Amino acid sequence: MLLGLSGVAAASEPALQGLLPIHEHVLDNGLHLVVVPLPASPGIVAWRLWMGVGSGVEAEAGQTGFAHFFEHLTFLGTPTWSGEQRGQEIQRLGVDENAWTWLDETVYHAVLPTASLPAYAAIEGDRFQHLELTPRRIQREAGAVYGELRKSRSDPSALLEARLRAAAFTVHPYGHDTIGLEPDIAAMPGAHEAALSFLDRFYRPGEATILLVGDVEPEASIALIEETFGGWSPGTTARAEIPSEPEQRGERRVTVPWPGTTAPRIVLAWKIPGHDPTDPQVAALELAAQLLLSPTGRLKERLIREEGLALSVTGGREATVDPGLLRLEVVARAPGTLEAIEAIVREQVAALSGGIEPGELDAVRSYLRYRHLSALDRPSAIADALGEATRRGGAPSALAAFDQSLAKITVADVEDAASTWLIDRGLTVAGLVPGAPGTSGGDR
Amino acid sequence: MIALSLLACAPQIEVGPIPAEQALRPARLLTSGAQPGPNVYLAAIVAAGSAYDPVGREGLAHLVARSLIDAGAGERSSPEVRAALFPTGATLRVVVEREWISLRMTCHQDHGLLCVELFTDALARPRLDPGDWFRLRDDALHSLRDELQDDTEALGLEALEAALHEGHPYGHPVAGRAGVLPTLRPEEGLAFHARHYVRESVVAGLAGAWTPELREALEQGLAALPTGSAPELPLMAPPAPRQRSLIAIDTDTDTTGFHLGHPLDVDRNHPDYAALHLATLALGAHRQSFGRLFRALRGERGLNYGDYAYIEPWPERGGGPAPEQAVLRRDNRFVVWIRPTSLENGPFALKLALDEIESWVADGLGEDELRSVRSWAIGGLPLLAPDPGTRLLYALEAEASQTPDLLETLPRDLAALTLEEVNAAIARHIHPDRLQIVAVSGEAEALRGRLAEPRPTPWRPDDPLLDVHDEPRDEAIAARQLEIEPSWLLDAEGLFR
Repeated sequence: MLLGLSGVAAASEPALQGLLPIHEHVLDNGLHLVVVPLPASPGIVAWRLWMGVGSGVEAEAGQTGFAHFFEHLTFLGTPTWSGEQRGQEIQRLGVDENAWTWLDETVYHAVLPTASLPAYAAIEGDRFQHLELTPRRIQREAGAVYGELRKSRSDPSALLEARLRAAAFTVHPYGHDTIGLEPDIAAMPGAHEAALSFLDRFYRPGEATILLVGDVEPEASIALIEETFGGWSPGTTARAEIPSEPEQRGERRVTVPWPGTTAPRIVLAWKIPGHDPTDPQVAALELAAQLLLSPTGRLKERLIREEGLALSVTGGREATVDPGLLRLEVVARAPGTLEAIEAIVREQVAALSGGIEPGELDAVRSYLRYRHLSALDRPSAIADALGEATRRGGAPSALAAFDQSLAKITVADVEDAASTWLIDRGLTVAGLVPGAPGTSGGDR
Repeated sequence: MIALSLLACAPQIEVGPIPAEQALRPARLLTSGAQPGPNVYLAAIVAAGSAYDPVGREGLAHLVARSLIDAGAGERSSPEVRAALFPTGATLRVVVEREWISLRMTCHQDHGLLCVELFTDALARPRLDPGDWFRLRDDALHSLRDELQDDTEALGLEALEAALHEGHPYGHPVAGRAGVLPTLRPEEGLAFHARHYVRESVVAGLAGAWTPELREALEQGLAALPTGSAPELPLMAPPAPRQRSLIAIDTDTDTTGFHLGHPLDVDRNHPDYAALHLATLALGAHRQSFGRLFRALRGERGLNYGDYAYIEPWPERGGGPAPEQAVLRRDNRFVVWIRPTSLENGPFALKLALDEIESWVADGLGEDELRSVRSWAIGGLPLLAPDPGTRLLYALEAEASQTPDLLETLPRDLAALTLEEVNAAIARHIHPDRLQIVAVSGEAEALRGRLAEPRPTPWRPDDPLLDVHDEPRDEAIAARQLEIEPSWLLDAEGLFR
């Protein structure tokens, strides 16, 4: 099928369907395994252990930041491998590893020589089944979390984001930053009991997806993960119930003062549905966001190039499990321009409800689909894309399913999604003004 | 494919295809064998980094490089470039450092010919349209005035570069100087391009799913570059510090972070390169937990988020685990990065880091440490170039700098090192008593005072109720008197103006 785009050479459609040789296996304890052999990556394997545990599960008072803190704690050792011994062995095996936490997940990621995979899987299996949390280890690691907080506090966009979330979500845990609230971080050194409880409730195989991408053989990989993770007890995951965010019924605003020198900036964020790869409204909102934010997007052209008001325009649709946000952040060139910028953003968003040219939508669609396809050029990127797809959509095939969704969206779909979701009633606006007095308000 | 014989204890690995040079001088073109995968990768390195800025015109090289991709090229205005590029999903970006600029493109193979055209137009036929030029000039000004102030760690590193390279072409930020930028005009940008973007100073390459047709198109596109001799950059060795000094920068933050460094006369051609590379990984491998600094400061005491050491530029700073390519310098430096601590713990963190560096220099590595760091370093080599585009950049930087391609030589060189060679290299090249120290702190004046006074500077865990002072060395380190002379106090807002 030809895309029929002006300026684009006749080409096959950039479809993801059937592109990757995906093998799946679910262990008896519920752990989901995805294996993708790639002959073009000799000697390398990308490892992901994708836990469906992020700051979005932190619904209990006093425990914000715990999912991220736990990411740190998992590196501290087991009876078999102390943290230091583990570090030395990882070093010997040539493994490059780290981890990250966000709203819906904590992801333990590594790239390693294929020859080291059996040994690494054994170490990881041990880590997630036999983690040893002593009060002393917890005390020390809490200091590193405080260090991360210090780092983020000097970033005006991070502060703005935190205030925006707090205003946009009144009861859902998406309302606090993944790193957590400072009083809760300050209390982490004494959080031994809470850490044990968190481990018991959330770190269970039913929350885990392991992805192996690169120079791997499917059958041997399945046997390896069965051997190293098969003994992980499914447990009884008694999560605290996550409160549903009530429907927003009016625009919310917050102004954030900033003591130092920086460029003023503003974020406009609308409530949107959680990610569902087969929901046409979700695909339509993704295209709506790109109509504004892509390299030739309407907002970028208008604010950066035509009006010269903005230094940068960023944001996008958050692909969250629960209903989340579509964010547009603008960094202003000059003081005193946020009002004008906000008016243009609102005007451009309102214009998505009617008058989109089919050619414009096709170009955005082509951009997005080729972008997704081109990104799949290395084991790590493939593992990340399939990991997110599997956790959000239940299976790695959700990646291609979303691509197919994007292929089918019409102008009418985008206009309908924009007029349903990108409306004042669901909007939260946060502005950062150097030196301005702080105010905040609820619905208006 | 080349199989490499490694240490007995290290995992067996293979590195990918090694690009072979094709004779196409004066512009040099490297290609790898065509490889499966979705993309074609294009890259070029040009000796036109910020060190080539004329005196008093700091920021010109950076602005020209930024304009290659965002101020029109060939027959297209910048909106027309974006309109052509956009539906292909291709990425076209430029990285600017002191010596070089590098243009990189990743493009799905369905659009190879269009991408080659856009790439070579950007490199050889940029327009520097005035409207775009002035917008990009404002962006550069913002990066100096605001972004640098927002990021205290970037500010610290930039201040260290300035301290190490006073009177040297590396001595100003890549983006220039805030006082100069508003005077830079597109006409002088075009003149700079004509002078520096000549075939003799360009090394370009093609990798991934390329075809002979694309290669031919690339050659034709590069032929639009003028011939001529590129201006030489006469570098003189940066001034060698004779003693330890301190620059304390006051800023609005409740933290203290440090950068320490001194000039380093070791590049990839130096016989001690592999030894020093390995030794520095043991001291502070980027974002790894096994480095001595990381273990002492974060692992054992939780003082901060991380602590690392480098013998080559690492402009991505806090970013991913792998180094950036095409950022090499002829004049190198040794740098240690101590990430922000609480204000109270800052002096202790600095003393502890210095103690770690001193014992690393005085005692060197042990046999076990050498073995494990070497195993990690060799095992990780294939991970440095996970896609053909990155592999190409390693080959291009080797060609452009006339140094060995690290992915070819490091496995052999690291495997051959002896403990004596490694420790001798540290002792030869690293001088803890000559480190220039830059502190960025919310209490810079008080910090300077605490470092100068004879009173001990103990550390305190972030939770005051807990006592984790169990390290026997801590008391001695807290009581230590540092010899730092001279020292200066600066205000962050006045820097790089």
